[in-house]
Amino acid sequence: MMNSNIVKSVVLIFVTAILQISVIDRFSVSHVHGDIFPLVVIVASLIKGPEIGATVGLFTGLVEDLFLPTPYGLSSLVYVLLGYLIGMITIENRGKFYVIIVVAFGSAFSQVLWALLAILLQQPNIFNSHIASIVMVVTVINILVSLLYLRFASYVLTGSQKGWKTISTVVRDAEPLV
Amino acid sequence: MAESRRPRGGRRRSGKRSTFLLLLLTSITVITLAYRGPAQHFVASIQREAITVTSPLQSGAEGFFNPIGNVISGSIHYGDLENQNSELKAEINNLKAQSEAQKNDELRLKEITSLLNLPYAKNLKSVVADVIDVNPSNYELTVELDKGVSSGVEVGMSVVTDKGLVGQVVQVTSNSSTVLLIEDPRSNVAVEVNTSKAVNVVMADATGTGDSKPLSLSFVPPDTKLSRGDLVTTSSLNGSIFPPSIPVGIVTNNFDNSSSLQENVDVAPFSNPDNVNYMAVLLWLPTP
Repeated sequence: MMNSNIVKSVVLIFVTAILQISVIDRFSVSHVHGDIFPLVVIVASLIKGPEIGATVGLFTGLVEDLFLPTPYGLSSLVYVLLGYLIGMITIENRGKFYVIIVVAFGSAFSQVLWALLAILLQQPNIFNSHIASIVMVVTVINILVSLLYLRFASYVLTGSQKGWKTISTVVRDAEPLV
Repeated sequence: MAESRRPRGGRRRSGKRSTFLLLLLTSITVITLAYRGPAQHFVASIQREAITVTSPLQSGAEGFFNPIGNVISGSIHYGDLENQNSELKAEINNLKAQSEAQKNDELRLKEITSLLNLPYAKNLKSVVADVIDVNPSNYELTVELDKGVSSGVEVGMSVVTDKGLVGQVVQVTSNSSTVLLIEDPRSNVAVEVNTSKAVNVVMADATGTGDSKPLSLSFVPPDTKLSRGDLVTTSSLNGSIFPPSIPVGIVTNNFDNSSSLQENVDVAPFSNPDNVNYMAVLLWLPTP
């Protein structure tokens, strides 16, 4: 079961990486392109809970950082926090609208946290970047992409073809952080 | 029964926190080791390999998605045709796509031809490269080219279009290279301003200020007479990291601040990487 989860998560991360560099990077709005890596973490947290969400976050970040000129591991730290947070705050029996809200929150949260950590690591370009528009565009693009992507990701992780229904009804043993 | 479950729930919660803390610690350790620690070079080599492996994919995707982009562009320009029947729309879009593809091919041919005959670098060898990605990060002003070490490209070489300087190679793999654009705030180019109002050529440094923003000239002495439209080229002084006399841009603003030790001058760069499919890497390195 454990091995099966690992294989499914690895497949999802690599397919997402290929989608990101070959498709999503091609289309930009006001010089900002989407970033669908947070969607992997969000969907894993929603379906599998905070532990697996954070673990998938670590490895998703390590893969994303291979293609970024910024410090290696920065995205991992962001996605570990994102995966655990989404897994803990998520309620059971959620609807489609709730999932979209989580996608929007998770996308915006990951971009803002990434920028804050980059500032802490003294990355030179962050203050010159239009962070507000990056957050806005990435959030909107991720909401649009998630309409198809979450269906695909839930199929990879659970084998269920019910798509949104799977994400909305999977029952986990999520417990509050405190 | 309920009491016997409680400790198990507690252990589970504690296990979750332990896993979370372990993952958090792992990611912080990775940053520490890779940022300025002993694993810096190892991580850089892994990153280069990842880019090498995926660059053919990026090239293929560019070839696949460019025609789709052309169709979308054609559809936008012919928005009023949306009210006509679907058969006619499909036919028009098809014709438009063919037309755009043909225009695109002609434009690419023109770009390559002009890069093979650079008027300002006739004595320099160069390699024409395909732009496979523009600004892969939202926070860095870089482009990816499909030529690397196997084509003679090295770190530090200048990259140009037919209009002028674009940037400098900062990372190279066997079949791809990363170019830091002159608009990036980390970029600094030694330049000279050719102005009719001054007796001598004005020497200065051009620094990037961000995407789609003008370059900023520093070290321009106060009371220097510069005009809008004055040509800015790379410095011809020995020791410059760029080949001499490559056009960089034109002066757009000159804020003469008498209380300052230098003038504030804005320069609009000639090259806009957003609209370019090909660039030339000049196979020239400064003499050490």
